[in-house]
Amino acid sequence: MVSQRRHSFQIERSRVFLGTLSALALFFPFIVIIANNLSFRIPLTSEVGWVISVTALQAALSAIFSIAFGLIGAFGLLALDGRLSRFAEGVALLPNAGPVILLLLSVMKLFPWARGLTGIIFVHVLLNAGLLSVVFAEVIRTKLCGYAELAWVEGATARQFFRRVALPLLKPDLLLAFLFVFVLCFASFSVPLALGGSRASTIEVLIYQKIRVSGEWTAAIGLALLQTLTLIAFSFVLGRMRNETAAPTFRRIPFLIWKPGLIVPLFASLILVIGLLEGVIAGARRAFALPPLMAQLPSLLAGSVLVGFLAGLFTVVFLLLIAYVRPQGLFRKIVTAYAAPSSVLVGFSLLIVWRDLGFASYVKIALAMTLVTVPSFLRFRWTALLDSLEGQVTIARTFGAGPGLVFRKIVLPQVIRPAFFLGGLCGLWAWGDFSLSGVVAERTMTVAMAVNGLMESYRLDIATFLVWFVILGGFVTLGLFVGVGNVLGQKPQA
Amino acid sequence: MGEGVKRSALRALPILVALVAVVAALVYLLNDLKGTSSEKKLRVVAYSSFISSWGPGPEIGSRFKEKTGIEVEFQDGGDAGLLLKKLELFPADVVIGFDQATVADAAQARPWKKLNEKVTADIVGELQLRVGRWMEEGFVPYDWAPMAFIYREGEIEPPQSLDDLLDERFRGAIALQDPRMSTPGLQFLLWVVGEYGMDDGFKFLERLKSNVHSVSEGWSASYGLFTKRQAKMVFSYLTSPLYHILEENDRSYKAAIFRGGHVTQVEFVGVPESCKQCEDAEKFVNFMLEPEIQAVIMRKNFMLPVVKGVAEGVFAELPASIGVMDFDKQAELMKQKDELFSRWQSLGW
Repeated sequence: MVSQRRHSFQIERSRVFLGTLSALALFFPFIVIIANNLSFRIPLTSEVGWVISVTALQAALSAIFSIAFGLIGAFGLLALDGRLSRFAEGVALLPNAGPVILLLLSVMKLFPWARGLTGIIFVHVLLNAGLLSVVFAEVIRTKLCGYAELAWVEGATARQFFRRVALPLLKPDLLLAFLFVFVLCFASFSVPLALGGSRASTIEVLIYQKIRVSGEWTAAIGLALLQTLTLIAFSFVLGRMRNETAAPTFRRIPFLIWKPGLIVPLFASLILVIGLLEGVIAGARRAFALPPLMAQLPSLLAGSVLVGFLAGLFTVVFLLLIAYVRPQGLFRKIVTAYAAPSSVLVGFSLLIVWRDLGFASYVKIALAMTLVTVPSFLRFRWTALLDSLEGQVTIARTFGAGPGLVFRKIVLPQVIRPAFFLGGLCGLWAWGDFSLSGVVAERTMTVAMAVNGLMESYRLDIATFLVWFVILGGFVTLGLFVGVGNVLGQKPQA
Repeated sequence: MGEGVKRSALRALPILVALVAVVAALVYLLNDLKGTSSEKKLRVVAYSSFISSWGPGPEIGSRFKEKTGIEVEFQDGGDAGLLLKKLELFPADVVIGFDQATVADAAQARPWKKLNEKVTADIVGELQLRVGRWMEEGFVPYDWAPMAFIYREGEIEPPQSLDDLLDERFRGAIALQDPRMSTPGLQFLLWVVGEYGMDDGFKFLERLKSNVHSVSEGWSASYGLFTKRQAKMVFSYLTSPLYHILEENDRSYKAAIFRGGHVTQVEFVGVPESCKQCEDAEKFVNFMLEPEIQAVIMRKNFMLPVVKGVAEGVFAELPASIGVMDFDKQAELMKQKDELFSRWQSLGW
């Protein structure tokens, strides 16, 4: 009995230790910067106040519209089955895969009216609606379908079902989605600048300006802190966002299927593909006529494979660590609300603590990607998923199961697939990243970095050709992570 | 039984593929990185397009090794603000890529070696006069180009002065860059304010708004809008059409030549006082000014050489005389950059 208690105490201690470790990892950029005597000042000028209010408005509107279209898209995705459904979900994620500038160029060509606040919101919706469609489709499958079937059998109308069942049940997910998109758009950089002109500043833009143009690091760090604190405060205002328990996936989905909704997730990808197809053949021809690039391509591809894989792996490990810790109380609130600081600061903080170059740079890029993306995953999907397991965990603990057993037998089997899906998503984004990589790496190490370099030296057409490698590589990475998650998440057969 | 094994094998396939891909990438990269130990190499920090495989860096490095036996290791420093901070973490022997707008910050941020007289000998006369003060601080120009509006022949009648930009025919046609993010964007703002003065300059920009197609965060985005035919004119380098001639065999891209002269971008190289291979660093800076290396920079960076007698072919076809704006005036204006940026933002494009 005594040894059992000691064992249990040790496991609790390990949870506290791992919780502290994960918190340190999350806040790592700020800790490093402050520990290295890089002082900060928050430039509380009227400009900053104005930027915050304008940014909040565009982020809120972008989030609302993304959610609305994401829901419509989800109803479309639910109309598909099996492989077709997986293919459509993959296509829906396409706008998130490559450099935003390519989507921007396509939008500017096809929708010349998309300028100013309208244009910014339009592109943010294009970027996020597909991803939200995929996520909402999954949430609906696991959460609503059982109720939908019951309501349908009982003779409820679609309107009754949505008003009395669907919306109340989806409320926490909608709030989380709102927060997720809001934070992404609040920190958005390229889109407001390209479409909004000088009035479309975001704090991220100000941070970039302070660092890259003025070299004012103290002000940049202060602004990054202000951005993080604003988002944390905003998340606290939204209140507790605990989710209800998940139900098993249902195949029959009355009320929740609407095939035309498929237009939403496919629309943005179509725009992107149209833009990317233009000039791709000329780009390929010119790429082959540029021997230095062709000679470098294998190492760029190998670099992207490694960075994508490591970013995905680190994300999976981080998410599982958080799943083991199951943050509670204030820690949970902070984890849910935390947003990583500007990517320049994350990259730079890694450079401060780890100065090795060469191979280490690949690992650093992947780590930096993980540190930037994991807070979004925690906020949006992960804490909600862990909340949904609380009931089962409580019952198991009541029956005397220790935290280790609870994690192995209850939590892990239910979170392993989503962990690998999110890991794959981080891997996909890592394939497309060049801004964070540009801070961390000492030379062009990935295909996406080469794409950026080519765009900076007139060669947009070659960049357009190489982007296809980024997209294909990113999706293969995502597919492999999903596949591995499925294999590891299989129930043992009797 | 057989079916079960087949299904299990199929399910395990993603793991296998992932492992094979990662192991292959690892082996390739470890092999690729072999022998890139940075001991006893000349560390040169530059911006990414300079050191990319298609940029001038690698060729300069290999030619320098052929001539001196000294191996050069290039590192990406990023933009000026980031580069100066990175130098604190990763000491370098040579730093490439400041321009006249950022060189003052560099001079203020850390000490730089005063370079051997020899390096300043052959620099294009007019340019030497204008960058002389920075050369005294230890920064040596290695390429330059006037900034100009680029258009496609036959699409619009080109402007001949800043005032012409306000003409009705350019409505929604001009792609600009944000001066807070982009050096060319900053050059344009300094040009306008230098030409008209602070208040009248911003009045000019206010009037220009209706003719501006977009203000992008960087040069590459705005130039992309132009080449994708979204914008009819873009603020870029006077040498930009040379890329289209040399790489695409397309002579339709032209630079609009202004009567009153152009603002000019000059790029500098410097040797930090903290250099480890200081002698080699100085040799490298000298090497960058040798005619054949200036020709490499010219061809691969699409900028003009700073040394006399190097420009040849299409580069020699550029207008013989184009006015160059006063750098001292620019440096004075840069002291008011907070006000400049704040007023730029309040324009609300």
